[in-house]
Amino acid sequence: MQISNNHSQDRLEQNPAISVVDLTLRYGSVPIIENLSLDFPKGAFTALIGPNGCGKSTLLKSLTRILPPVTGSIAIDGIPMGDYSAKALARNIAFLPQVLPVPDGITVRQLVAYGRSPHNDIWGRLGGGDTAAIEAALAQLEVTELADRYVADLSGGQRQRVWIAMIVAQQTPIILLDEPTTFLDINHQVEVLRFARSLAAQGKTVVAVLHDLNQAFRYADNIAVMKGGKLVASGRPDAVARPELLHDVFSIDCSIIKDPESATPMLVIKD
Amino acid sequence: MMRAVPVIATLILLLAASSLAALCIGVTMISPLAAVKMAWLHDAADFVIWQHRLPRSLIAILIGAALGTAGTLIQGVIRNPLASPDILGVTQGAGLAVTVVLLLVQSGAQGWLPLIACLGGAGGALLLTAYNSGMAFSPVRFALSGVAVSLTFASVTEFLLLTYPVEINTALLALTGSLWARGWTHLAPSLLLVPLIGAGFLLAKPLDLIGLGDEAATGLGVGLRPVRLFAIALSVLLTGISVSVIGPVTFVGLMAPHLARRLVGGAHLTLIPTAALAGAIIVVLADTLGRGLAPPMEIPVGVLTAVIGAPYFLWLLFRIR
Ligand SMILES: Nc1ncnc2c1ncn2[C@@H]1O[C@H](COP(=O)(O)OP(=O)(O)O)[C@@H](O)[C@H]1O
Ligand SMILES: [Mg+2]
Repeated sequence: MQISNNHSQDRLEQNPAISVVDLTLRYGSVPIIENLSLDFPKGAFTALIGPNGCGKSTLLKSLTRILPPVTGSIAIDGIPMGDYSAKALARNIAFLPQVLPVPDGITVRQLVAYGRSPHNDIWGRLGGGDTAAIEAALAQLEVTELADRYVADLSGGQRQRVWIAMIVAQQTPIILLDEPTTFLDINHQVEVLRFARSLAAQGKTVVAVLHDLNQAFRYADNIAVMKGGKLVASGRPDAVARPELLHDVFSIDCSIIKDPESATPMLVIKD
Repeated sequence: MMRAVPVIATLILLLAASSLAALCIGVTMISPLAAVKMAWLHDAADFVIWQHRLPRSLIAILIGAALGTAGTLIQGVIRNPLASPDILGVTQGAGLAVTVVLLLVQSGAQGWLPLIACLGGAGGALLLTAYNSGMAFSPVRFALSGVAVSLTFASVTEFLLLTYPVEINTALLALTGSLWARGWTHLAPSLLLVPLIGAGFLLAKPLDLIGLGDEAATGLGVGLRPVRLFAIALSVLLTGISVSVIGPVTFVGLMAPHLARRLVGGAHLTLIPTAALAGAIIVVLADTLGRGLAPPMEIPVGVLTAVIGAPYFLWLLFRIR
């Protein structure tokens, strides 16, 4: 753990994978995010935390051009996002939406295969590399046994893992996950968090919206804290996990202790 | 999916069988063997087959396939099982435009009918889009307002036909959703449908991805705007040209894609041909049935598809609400 933390320290000092400057986002005329500047360090696992409705999903949507910025700029790997074609952007960033529709009449393997679409031709033909990527993603999320079932027939948690497998099959250097653990049991939550960590260890940039702060502190290299459409703090878990700050953002009284297993900060609620 | 291939092969056989039935059934009944022989040899004695039933069946096949494809594209891009060209005001908008032009211009308008029908269809789609914009999207409201727009167009068409009985010519009479008196001359505009159906296949992959939601589709590199525009434009063209040949035939564009989805699943590369074949079979069967039920009277295709389609639509509404 110590070694890997030092590792991530180095990574935090590299060029950012995503650099957001002075970003303002609106739905219609309602401003949701105003003048937000934030970097997502390359090769690190960043947890995006903040109370409900603070704009986490909104921010992630702008990073895949679902929501166009009103002002400000976003650069991916130092290149303005506007310079990427839709397909080129999809080869660089994969995005798991918070709300996952249930596609009709589509099997798990078909869904995961759609992750290859930024890489293949207009007929969606799968080459050998594509098939290998699909099988690997199915195996990594432990959903190979579900491959021939219809997505519509799965449980919420199974469906979420299958969708994550689709994102993984996209094989992008940057992966954005909006609440990837919400529907999972504790075992699979930990699996997904460990997996996110291992992706970062391979040099990928992972950003995940998480609600369990202790999981965020334990598994992420970097924490970005939002409140009311603004960035409140960002940095390593031990720099961010402060009772005053958490009280400010989440209105909770807590103390911070050391996780006996990993020595990362651990939050304990006070009565 | 593997099972798409046998399903499509079976549908092709079914379509061949229904087309053969279409050649045999009518005022004069002809045995299947004789019908095939006559269509093949094509001599002067085979007037019924060669001049009437063969071109009529070919048109039925092409238009049925066009309506099935148009419905699949619309349902895919709007992600709404209730959507189809007739429910979007496209079919009846095209029908109204054709009626108005044929009433105003007694002759010489024939060649322009496909274009006029497409413009009318586009007008219907635009009206519905304008009515539903600026609010959160609701599938049921969208479908119901589409039905209202369609009914309004259909009523105006009906009103025009009733108030100007003198001006009604055969050209107009033929355009009430029936294949009556359709012959080789009408096949030419129908042939335009072939490349348009083919163009639908280009949308197979983006429509699959749009089925995963706008956010996931964008994340996978789909440009939503051009795909939507292309899909809706293709549907309007397919529907408009069909209406310009046989008039409005409703519910085929709704039912064929549903049937196809049950048979081969949701991937559009197999869904589009399956829906096209299902649409072709529905229209050929409806036309044959219309001729065979009470000869020499003919029940129009559009009436028969509506008799099956309307209750089906009600059932869908009931299930979705
Ligand atoms: N499509 C939308 N249209 C209008 N307002 C929205 C929309 N989506 C989210 N909002 C609003 O934007 C704010 C931020 O939402 P969101 O980014 O989803 O928050 P969260 O941090 O929980 O992910 C909330 O106040 C929410 O009501
Ligand atoms: Mg959210």
